[in-house]
Amino acid sequence: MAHELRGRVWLLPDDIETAQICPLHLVGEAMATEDGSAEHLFAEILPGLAKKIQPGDILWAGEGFGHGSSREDAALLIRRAGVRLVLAMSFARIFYRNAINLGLPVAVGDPRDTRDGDEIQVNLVTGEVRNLSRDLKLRVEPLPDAVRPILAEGGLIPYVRSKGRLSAGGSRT
Amino acid sequence: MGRTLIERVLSEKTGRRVHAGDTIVAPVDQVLLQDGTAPRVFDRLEQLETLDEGSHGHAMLFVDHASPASTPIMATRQSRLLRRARELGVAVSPAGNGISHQLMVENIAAPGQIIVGADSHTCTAGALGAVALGMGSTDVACAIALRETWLQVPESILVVLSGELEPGVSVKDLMLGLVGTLGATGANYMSLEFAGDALVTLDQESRFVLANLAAEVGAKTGIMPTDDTTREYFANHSRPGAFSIVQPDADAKYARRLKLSLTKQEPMLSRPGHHDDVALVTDEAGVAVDQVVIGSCTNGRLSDFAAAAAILKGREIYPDTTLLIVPASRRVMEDAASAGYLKTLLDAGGTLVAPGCGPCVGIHQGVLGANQVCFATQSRNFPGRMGDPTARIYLGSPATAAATALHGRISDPREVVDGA
Repeated sequence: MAHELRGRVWLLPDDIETAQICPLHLVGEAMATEDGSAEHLFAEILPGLAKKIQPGDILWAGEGFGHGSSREDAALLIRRAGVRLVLAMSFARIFYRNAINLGLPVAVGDPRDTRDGDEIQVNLVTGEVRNLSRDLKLRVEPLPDAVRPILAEGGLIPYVRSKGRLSAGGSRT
Repeated sequence: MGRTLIERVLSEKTGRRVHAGDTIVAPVDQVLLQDGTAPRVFDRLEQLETLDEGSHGHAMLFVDHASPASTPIMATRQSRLLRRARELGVAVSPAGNGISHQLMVENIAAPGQIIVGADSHTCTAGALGAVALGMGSTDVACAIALRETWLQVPESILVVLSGELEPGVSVKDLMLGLVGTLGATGANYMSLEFAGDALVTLDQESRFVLANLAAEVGAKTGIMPTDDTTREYFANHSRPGAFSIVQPDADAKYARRLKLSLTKQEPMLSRPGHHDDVALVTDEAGVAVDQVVIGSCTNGRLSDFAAAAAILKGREIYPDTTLLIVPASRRVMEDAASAGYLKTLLDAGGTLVAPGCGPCVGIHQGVLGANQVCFATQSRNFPGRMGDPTARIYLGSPATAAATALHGRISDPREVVDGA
């Protein structure tokens, strides 16, 4: 995973639940395959957004992004849409873990005056963000040390396959 | 430095003193899966390629979300799921036994354990002094394959309970009040630890409600010390040996302390759309409802049906209203039958639904149609949760649900509770 990511931003409101990210009754059996369509992403809460999102885009949400059910499908559907990075004012913890585990980078920060369609550049290690469209300097929290090696391997499954065990932050005791 | 309850349990399990902020790898005692999330857990297990088939007895698959299956597709998927579970040596609780979280506390969870579950209400077992963590499928697959998980030791909010509830009011009302105060993410990444003089007076089923609703303020889990009430619960469930005392250090350091008085608590509800949009029941009294549901991992236990039966005994529900009774487990259903609560609720016009998640997850057994209004005792109500996205879901206590079923309109249970 590159530390510097650049892409077009889509802003999302506060309090989006996993079931609104991924409406299971619409997605249904499509989730059984890893490479299915992402057309139902945000289908009921933000109709039409899925069509606008292009591979390489960045989402920037408000507070509590991804709360509710533990369904991993929510992070998976976002990844499947080609989203490169998810930023939010705050994340629900299960969604945060799921995203990391799927190799989808996530970071916490305030978009301030950023608007839909702005081009931003994010350094996940330093936390520096530049809004290139508006010449704004913003910040996100740098990726925690425990999370970087997992993202570097592309997610928890490749990490465990490569290392054999979990070893985040210390030895198994 | 003194340790909170979760710091103590995690220290005990890892064999070293751990504190909030430490990232640790911790051993896992038990893993729970449910039919909604298990397919992906099994996919991930296969991708891990560290499969040691036939040695995953610390994991159990609970068929509870679509129980029994509602469509041929779902039935086919479930039979495939059960086959895969048996091939992997994962234990199975078939459809009809009840909700994973209830079956975990009845049969499996114990104080001081670390439990990882592929469901966000896994935290319910924290009421027995376990560290019980809801996680996604990939985390859960690793917990099955490696019997360990990575986690950051959370800071704790100490919730200190005092006073005594009035008739018709329950800890659900208290917790909805807390959800309204903290908001859906107010305790994000933290542990809610319960304490106080009033905790000791609460029965075990009320304590499950406290721990269960930790998920609704974004907490990593809810946990509380064990005592004689917990001991008695284990004895009543034929597991006296599973009991042990867990408690925090006297000088534990908490990120925040919240004092909650039970005494002046009023009946509360969540308005449709956001479970943290909390109001007094009296603010919404009179709103007509199509359906009332008493059930779920939050409020589908014996005491919940006792509270509803106390209100509906000798009465009939409003003729245009559907009342669904969804026991959280087979044992709850049997106990409610033995105690006579079930007959009272059926005589009043209630409909019994198979033990399990029922309509709470919106896929079967009482889903809602366009613009329908429901009053339910579960913990979530976002648009589309129980079916059509235009349906409106109010959340509240079993007593408020019963009073609401009686009048076909949202009603204050204190006006109809016995002796009031």
